[in-house]
Order: sequence, then structure tokens, then C-alpha cells
Amino acid sequence: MILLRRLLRQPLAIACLAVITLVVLACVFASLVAPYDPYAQDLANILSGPSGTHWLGTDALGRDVLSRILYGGRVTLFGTLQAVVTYVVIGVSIGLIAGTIGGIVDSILMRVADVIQSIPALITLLVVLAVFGRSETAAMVSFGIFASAGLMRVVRGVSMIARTEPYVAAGTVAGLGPFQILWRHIRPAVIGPVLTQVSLFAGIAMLVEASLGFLNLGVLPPAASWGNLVSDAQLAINRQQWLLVPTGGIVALMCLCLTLLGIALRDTYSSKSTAGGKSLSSWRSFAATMRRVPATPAAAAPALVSEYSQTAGREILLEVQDLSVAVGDLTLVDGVSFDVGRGETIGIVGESGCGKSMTVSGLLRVPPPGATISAARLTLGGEDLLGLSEQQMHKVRGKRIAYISQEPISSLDPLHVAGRQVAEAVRAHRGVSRSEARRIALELLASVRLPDPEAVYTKYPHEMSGGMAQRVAIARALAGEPELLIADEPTTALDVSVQAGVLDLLVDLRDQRGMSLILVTHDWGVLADVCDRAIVMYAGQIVEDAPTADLIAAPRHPYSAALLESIPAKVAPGVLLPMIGGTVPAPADWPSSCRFAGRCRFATDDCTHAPIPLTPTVTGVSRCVHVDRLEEKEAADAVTTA
Amino acid sequence: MRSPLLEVSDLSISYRGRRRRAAATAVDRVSLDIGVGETVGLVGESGSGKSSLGNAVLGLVPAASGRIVFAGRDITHLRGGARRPLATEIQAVFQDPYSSLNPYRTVGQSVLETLTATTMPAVERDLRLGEMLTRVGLDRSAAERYPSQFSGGQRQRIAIARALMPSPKLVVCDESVSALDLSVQAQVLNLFVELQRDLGVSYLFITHDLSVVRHVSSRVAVLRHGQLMEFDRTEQVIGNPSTAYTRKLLAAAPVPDVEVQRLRRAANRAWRALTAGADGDRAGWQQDIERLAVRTGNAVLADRLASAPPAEAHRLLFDAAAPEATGDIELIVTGDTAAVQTLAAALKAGDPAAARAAHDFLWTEGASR
Amino acid sequence: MLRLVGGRALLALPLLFIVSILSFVLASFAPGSIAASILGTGATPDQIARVEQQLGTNRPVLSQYGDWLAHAVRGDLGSSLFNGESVTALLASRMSITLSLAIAALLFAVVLGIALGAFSAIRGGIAARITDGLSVLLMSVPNFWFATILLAILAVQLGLFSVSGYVPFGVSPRDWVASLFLPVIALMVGSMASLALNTRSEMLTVLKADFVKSLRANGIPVGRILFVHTLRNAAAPLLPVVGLLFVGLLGGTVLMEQIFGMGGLGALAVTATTQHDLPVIQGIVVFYTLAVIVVFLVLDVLVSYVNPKVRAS
Repeated sequence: MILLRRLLRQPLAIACLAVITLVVLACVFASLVAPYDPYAQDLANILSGPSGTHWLGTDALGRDVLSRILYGGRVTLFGTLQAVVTYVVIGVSIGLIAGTIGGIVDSILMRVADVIQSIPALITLLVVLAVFGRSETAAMVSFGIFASAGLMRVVRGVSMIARTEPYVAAGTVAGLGPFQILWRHIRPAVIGPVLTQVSLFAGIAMLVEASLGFLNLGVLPPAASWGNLVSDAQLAINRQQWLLVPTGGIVALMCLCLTLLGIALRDTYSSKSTAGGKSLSSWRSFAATMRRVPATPAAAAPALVSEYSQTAGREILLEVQDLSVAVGDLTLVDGVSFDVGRGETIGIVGESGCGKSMTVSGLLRVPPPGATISAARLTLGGEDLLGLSEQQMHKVRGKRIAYISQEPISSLDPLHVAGRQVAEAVRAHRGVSRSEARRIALELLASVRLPDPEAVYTKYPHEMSGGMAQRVAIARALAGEPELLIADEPTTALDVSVQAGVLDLLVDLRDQRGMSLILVTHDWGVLADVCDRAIVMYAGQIVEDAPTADLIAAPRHPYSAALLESIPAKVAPGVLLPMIGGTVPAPADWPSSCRFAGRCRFATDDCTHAPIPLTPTVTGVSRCVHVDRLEEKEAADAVTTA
Repeated sequence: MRSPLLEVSDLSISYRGRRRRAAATAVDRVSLDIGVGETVGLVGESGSGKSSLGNAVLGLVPAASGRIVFAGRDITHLRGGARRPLATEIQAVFQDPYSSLNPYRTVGQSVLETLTATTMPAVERDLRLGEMLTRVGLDRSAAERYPSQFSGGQRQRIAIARALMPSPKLVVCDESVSALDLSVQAQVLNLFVELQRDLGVSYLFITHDLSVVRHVSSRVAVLRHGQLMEFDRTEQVIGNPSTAYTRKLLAAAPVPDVEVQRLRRAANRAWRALTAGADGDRAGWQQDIERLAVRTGNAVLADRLASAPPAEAHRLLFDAAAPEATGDIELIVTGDTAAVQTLAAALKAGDPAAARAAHDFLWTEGASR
Repeated sequence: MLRLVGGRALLALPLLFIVSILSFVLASFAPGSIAASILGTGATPDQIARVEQQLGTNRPVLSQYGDWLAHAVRGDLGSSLFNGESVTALLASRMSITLSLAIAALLFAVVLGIALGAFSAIRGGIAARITDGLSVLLMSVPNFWFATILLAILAVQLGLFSVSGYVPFGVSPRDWVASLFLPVIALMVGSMASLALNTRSEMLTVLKADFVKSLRANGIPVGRILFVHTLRNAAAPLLPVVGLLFVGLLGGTVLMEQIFGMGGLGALAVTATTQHDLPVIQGIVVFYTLAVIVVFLVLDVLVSYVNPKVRAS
């Protein structure tokens, strides 16, 4: 139902459905619609071409082509229908059996499908036609049977995946029997792919029916079918070429509509997960639109941040001012400003949907397709990154700023061994020979403390554990000897004991190489463990920026404070956790004033009037008008604990 | 003592090997029990068999040997129709809030699913559906909508409503809050706790997160490679773990406290230097320690240390191996923590046994703060 | 690699057996008989029975099949019941036509289809939309119609190509190419178009993968990302599609041979079925199956080269 509603939102799909319906109805009611008797000959008027009396002209015997097409359509469409029904009944039932029973039944059925799919259909149909004496039904039903192997594969695949979904386990736990599971949970998953296949197959079946007619193996003349009409047209090719146009054209038109409908159906059910953002349409659509914006008054804030951090006398490596990332109409990162000193580790912390990852994607200029990145200033070691072309920026990536992602195994190409992927990066950034690249890659693998670099070199990603793969990804990121490493939730997918090792490694590498590190995380423990300074993000904005120790000891923004309080480790067992009601609002619902006000216990009318700027605090900056109240509370807490 | 609600004894679960591969044992002779209205935490890393155990209780995977007794009844081998009535007594909330609800079915249809095995009349079902949705903090109108219209936290509430519809006695929570953000995790954990208070339901709380377990469970079982490491009261397991593995697990999870993490890191570095001295292999020590730490936990490291001559460890630590460790220890000492001082003293004295005790204490102490 | 080829070949034997026995049994059920078609319409039942006796076609089907099999394993596919020609010789004389058509069409379809699909997935924009639209259109056009139109325009109206007939390579390589050009084009466009659409969608799927973002973010050269990583990952699911396309192309040769007046195996198959010439049908079916097996085997080797997981299992 959802599927149908979504389908009817696509104009092209509606047009296709309309054409198909129209043609089918016209053929079914040919006796009412057709202007002439399909057999009526008008020998005075043969091969006439289109005219007022014969819209689509006449054939070699002066018969009206339009009428013959309408009557011929009955034969072709009925043949198609027979094939489709057979295809669906057999394909779906066998597919479900193979997909739900599995085991030996499944392997036998798959073998049979292999055999069937390796037999050329048209040849088999010749045999079938000979056996059953030109029976169109026999031919189309056997074609349906042969082709159903393809549908069976699809249904099997989809139902096998559906069977492993947690909602099926939940259904079993709820006491559903196997048939209830099949009906309630497997059927809805299968229906989209089946409709797609049916639509595409109907086009193919129509082509096959027409091919048989063309070979004059279908209905016998003078009866018409779309195929033998083309054959008639071919015979008259030297005298009247127009005849080819309507006869073959109708088959092409119907097939085109069925194919387009099939494609529209596939887009409909496979697009369910694309929440926000455009789907990827080509490699080129990755390229983001870059824009330089004048610094807003609020961007005075990073100066404040720098002021407090300048006391450390540090050298600034990366400077970001008013960075925004928008995808389509939605601004996902809104005016983020911060800087990173050499050798420093900055943590970006917050919940999902707050724009943490999008911020680093914006920095690296690898956002999702259709994005616009704007900033007032974006410099790396004094060099302006904002003005670089995509080609120039690509040379910065990996060479000066490297990146490791959250899912270690899927961040490596599954078809290449680990060592080659590291060596590839080495060659790209250092321009050395193949053998030299291999040597350096092995060194890098050793430097990320992989026990046996030679062995790891030849391993494929699927042969590695998560921790091992993440070390390989780190080795790859180090290939260009970057000044800044961006790690986007590098340990989230790992077990804690593995996480400890990877964090140790990152810290040691940072110290050995004097690299700076930006670590995106949602884990305050990881933040406390490795980050010098922390940036707290909420709903696309920075809400607080302070040294980690200060932030954790005395948060200066209600969001940071509330998040810290809700960590189970910091609360006595059995006591209800202090919590923030509600959830992070979706980007479309972000207000221009304080975005946290709706969930904040300190919120007053002041919070919802105007945008709240970042203002300096004792430790850093905070985007809150009630900083003083937080500080009072802290002071009060200090008194009670003392 | 009252008889427990669920009693698992000597349970083993193995998975058939695919294509000539040997069968793998996921759970190896594990015994544990859950009382009425109690929450038992089941902790372990990936591959520890914790989910397999939960699935066996739910009847989703067969037990190779051992027994599962629920409310005095052996349910180990109940399957199909015979198992169905149990659906009203044992329920589950799974990890992924996105895939645990069928995207093609309305929230109402999904939530009502757990009543399939009951004979409750339709009017009553609808009443209960409304009640349950309100109870988990959603609007009644949610029943008409599809899962895609809800956030992760809301979906997990729906999953909880579904599990509690038939008033089960036991709910298996398999990583039920792991995929949630911190603020939402707190909401859902509180909901679990409140529902237990109101309804007296028991939970088997499966998770990899010790801090969550510490918060909700009265007892904790620690699994590793399918084997039960320890099963005891939560304070005992977290505060004074009896196995090196649990200690290691506790120590590996970083806590949101900069000072504690700095102490841990320093202690760890000093520890590495100390063990490196015992080994004598300066180039390979980092890799070695890490491999051993991951595979075996601290016990083996301690053994290796114990077998090294104290003077050797001492000399290496302070003269050559780790000048940076010396610096760290000074830093720790200025941090004025008794445990760190003990460690430093032990290291200086070259006393491995004392150093080991101090090191362990430092790590676990940090975790329980 | 050897083990893979060996294993596949072993699997192919039962396939050949099943296909041959099925077609044999099916064809023997056909109404009418070889004797009737040899003798023509005026034959009496007596005459027919005598001819059947001579040819041995009145024996039980399975015993006929046994005979056939016993010869076939020695490479002798028997001889035509209709005119006594050796089936092996018949196949040998005609297979070059069919194979030239099918293989040339496959090569063109694969090279052009992947190129078009890759172009669309990489370039995007209007050019890609036109490519995709054209692909959908070409997929829907009946190939026999397309062939007839090509014939009507290029051969009849413009006189650019010979209207029909096949020139063997040995006679004149140039004319061989000319005689194959139109049929191959007409035969391959549909496959090319569907491969182009498949390539595009597989490449886009790969481009969405996590590892592509990592490669981009680490400055791996664009050419390598697209061709060493993306295209290779896309190839893994595409290769089986190529196999199915080849099966379809083999079937399509029947139509092309008919339209362009080339006496290949397709034409032979059509006459043999109408004449109930069992050994010939049998021979053709076995030949087609063998051709498909060989192509599938080549593809399997390619898949295992591309995908390490397949290699491992």
C-alpha cells in the first residue's frame, strides 16, 4: 500500500501505467474499438500509408493496420499474461520455499535454477512448439517456467535477508507460527522486488511472444499477432516501409512502459532509507559547492577561544571560521568556528544528528552529494583551503589531513589486500616506486603495532578483525605523513579492550609524529582519555568549547551538563538517571534562537527571542545566556560536597 | 530461598559448522539464575556468547546440552506450537531500534503482535494498546503510524511496549540501549527501571557496557569466549572483581574523568616498561604486551613479571627503559593519590607483587569511580 | 584456479546429461514423425512403419537415447535421419555463423555497455540522463524489429550493406565483417543497454560505500578510486549478468539468421524441429549447452579473480 502510494507520486510511472491500461483495454475491447474488420481486404487500397480513412495505413492485402494491431494485441497480450502468471506462481512459491526452508532443499533448488538459466530460452521454445504443435499457450507457459528461475533467485535472496531481521526474531518470540511470519513479515519485504521483476519480465515475455510471431511460429495467418505483423511488414519492406513503424512500434512502446514502470517500482521500494539529502546520482555529484562568506559578528567568538588558548603559546595549525554545511535546503552544520594547535587533540562530542561528522566532512570537503560548504575562513598551516579547487583540495587530503572512519572493515576495499591499500596511499603521496611503496607500507603496518606486518599485508578485509582493520586504516592514513588526522568515531564499532589498544596507538602516534588529532566521539570516557580540548555540538552548532578537564569538571552549557549527568557510570546504582526529555530536533525544526531551549531546565523567555551567540566563560566559550546560573549551581555543589 | 524465575544450568550452545568447518561452541556450560522482579546483567565482548545465551532462553537457538527451567518448568527443548504459550511470559527487546520493527507494519500492528498467542478480545486489546503506548511515553495515535516516522529512542519505546503487552514475567533485553544516544539511553534505562518497579518484571540485561549493567542489575554474569568468568552481586563484580578478565574489562572502558584516565594511562605505561624489563626485548614489548593483554588479560602479564628478577625490572624501569614513565610517575605523585604513590613506591622498590596489586587497584578503582 | 575449473567441469557433465535427456524425451513426444516428413504427405501408414523400422525410431525412447549417448561420448553425434548427413559435420559447418554472431555481439555489448554505464555513473548530468534514457529505450525495442529497420534504412534505402547472406572469414575477412555488422549491431543493442543500466546502478552502489569516502578523504587519485576500486567492485555482481546476457544472445541468433538469411544453427534448429529430426535437435541442444557452459566457466574464473571471498570458499 505504501508502495503504491509512493509509486503514484512519480509522474512517469503514472504515464506508463496509463499507456499500458489504455492499450490493454483497447485490445480487450477491440471488437468495439477497431474501425474495421481485421480480415476485411481492400485490394484497391493496399500499402496505403497513414490516411484519414486508415489512420495507420493498410497492409499488402489492404487490411486496416490499426484494427489488426488491436486484434493482434489480444493474442500477444494473452500470451504475455500466461507467461507472467506462470512466472509469478512458480517463481514466488519456489523462491519462498528455498528462502525459508534453506539447507539442502535450498541447495538443490539453486542447482536446478542454475541448469534452467543456462538453457537458451528461444531454442527450448522451438522444441516446445514442435512438441505441442504450435501451441502458443504451451510456449508461453514454458517460457514462464524457464524464466521463473530468475524470480526465484530474487525472492529467495530477499526472503533470506528478511528472515534474519530482528523483527522476525521478535515475531517468533511473540509466538507467531511459520505461516504467520511468512505472511506478516516476509511477504511485505518480497512484494516490492516481485512487482519490479514482474513488470520487467512482462516486457521480456512480450518481446519473446512477438519473436515467435515474427518467426511465424505463433498463431497462423490470417490471424494477427504483434509479431507476425512485423513479419508481414518485413516482407513488404521494399514497397512500403511505413508499415514497420506502427507494427513494431506498439511492441516497443509497451515494453518501454513496462520497463520504465519496473524501474520506477524499484526506485520506490529501495528509496525508503534515504532520509534527507539527495541520493547519489553520479561521481560528479560528490563535488560540493564552495562559498566564502563574510565573517559574522558571532565569529568574534573564536577569537575569544584563541585568546584563552594563546596563553599556552601554541602554534595554530587549523583555523575554522563560520563553517556551514548544507545539503539541499537543510543546514546541517551552522557557523562552526574553532582552531586546532599543532600536536593538539580536539574532541568533537555530542549526540547523533548534531553535525559532528558533517563538520569534519565539511573540513575535508567530502560531504554527501548535493552539499554546499561555506566558511569565512578555513586555513591549514596558514594556507587557505577555501579557495582551492577540488583537484588542489584532493592533494591536501591524505597528504596533509588524513581521515579514519567509524566502520574499520567497510572502510577498506573488500577486493584488495590490506597491504596494497596502504601501498597505494604511499605511492599516491610520496611518488615512490612499487617496491619502495611496499617496503614503506610494511613499515607503516609495523608502526601501528600489527604483530606480523608481512602476514597482514596479504590479508583481505573480511579476514581481519575490527581492531586489525582499524590499524590498517590508520596505517593508510599515515602514508602521507599528515599534519592533522581526523578520526570519526574510530573506536565506536570496537570492543572495549580493542578500543583501549587503538586509543593508545593514536595517542602514541600523535606524540611521536607531532600530529594534531581531531577526534569525533559520543563517548565522554574516550574524550577524557585522549582529548586536550573538547567542542560540544548540539543541533549543528557549537554550544561549548573548553579544555576537557574543565568541561567535565564544570560544564558551562546546560546541554553539556545534562549529558554528563546522564552517564550511568556517574550515578549511584538503582537511582533514576537524571535525563534530558525529548530528542535532538531534526534539522528542519531548528529554531533561530537557542536550539536546546525546548529541553533545557534553565530555559526562560530570553532563550527563545533571538540567536544566542557564543560568549566567553572562565574556561572557554558557551552558547548560553544562563552561564552564571550554572556557575552558581556548581559553587553550591562544591559547598555541599565539602 | 524462593525458587528462581529462570534457572539456566550447564547450558551449552554450538553452531553447526558451515561446509566442513568444525562446529563452534558459542556457550560452554554456563549456569545462572534470575529471581522474580530481579535484573541480571550479562556482560561480555563480541563473540562471548552473551546473545546466544539470550536467544536460547527465547527459544531462537537450540541448546546443545544443559537445562533452561522457567517458573519450575523445563523449557529447554520446547519448540513450535508447544512453545507458543510461553510468548506471553518471556519477551524480548532487541538492540537495533531500526530493524526490530517491520517497516511495512503500523506501530499498532507491531505492538499487538505479542498478543497473537492470547485469546484476549479485540476491544480489550485496543484498550491495552492505548494504555501501553501511553505508559512508555508515546501518544495513542502512534498506533496508526509507521516506524519510519519515529526516532530511534521512540522506536525503542515501541519495542518495549510490544514486549510488555502480554505482561510477561521475564524480558530479555539484548543490547537494548547500546544503539541509543546518551540522553535517550538515560530515558530508556529509566523506563526499564520504572516498569520493573510497577510491574515486577524480571530482566536478563545483555550488554557490553559495564556502566549500564552496574546501573540496572542486582547481579552480573561475565562471559568470555562462551565461558562464565564470574556471576555475583553487582557491587562485588564491579568493586572487587575476582577474575583478571573482569578487571581488564573494567579498566579498558574509559571513564569520563580526565584525572582518572591520566592516572590509568601513566600506570599503564609504567606497567609496560616494567614488563618490558622482565622480558628484555625492548623492540617488541609494545606489541607483545598488547597481544597478551588482549588474549589473556593481566594475569599472565603478572606471572611474567613475577618470574623476572626484581632488580632487573627496577633497573630497566628507572635507568633505561622508560624515562617518560619516570616523569609520569612524578606527575602522578603530585596528583596525591594514595594508590599511585603505592604503585610508584612498589616500582621503585622493584617489588613486582606489590606493583601488580597497586596497578590493578589503580585501574579498577578508576572504573568504579 | 585449476580446482575451480575442474570442479565446474565436473558439474557441467550432469548438466549436459540432463539437458540432452530432457530434449530427447520431449522431442520424441512431438506429434508426427520423421518417417512422415521424409515420405511427404501421400505416405501410407504401412510405408511409414517400414521407414520407422529402418531408422529404428519405433524403439522405446530410452533405448534410442542409450544408443545416442553411447555414440555421443565418443564424439559421434549420429547423423540426420532426414538426409543422413553427419550431425557433427552439420554443426561444424554452421556453428561458425552462430558463434561469430553471438560472441561478437557479446564482446560489443560488454565493452560498450560497461563504457556507457561507467560514463553515466561518473559524469552524471544531462549527458548521463540521455545515455540512461536511450538505454531504457534500446532495451525495450524488439531486436527483430530493430534489425528490420536497420535493413530497411541502411541496406535497402542507402545500399550500404549487403541485404543478406553470410561470407565466411576464410573467403574474405572484409566481407565477413560487412556481413556480420548489421546482425551483430541489431543483436547486441538490447544487451548493451541493459548492461549499461546495470553497470551504472552497481557503480553508484559502490560509490556510496564507506570505503569510497575513506579513499576520497585520504587523497587516493581519482582514476584509481574509479577504476581500480569502484569498477572492480561493481564488476563482481555484473559478471553473472553477462552470463545471462550470453544465453539471451544465443537465442537471439535464431532471429538474426532468419532476418539476414544466414544459414546458421538457428535456422537448422527451426527446420529440424519441424522435421522431427531428433539427432540434429539433440546435437544442436548439446552444442548450445556446451557453449553456455564454456562462457559460464570463463565468467566463473573472472569472478574468482575479482572477488577474493569466492576464491577462498
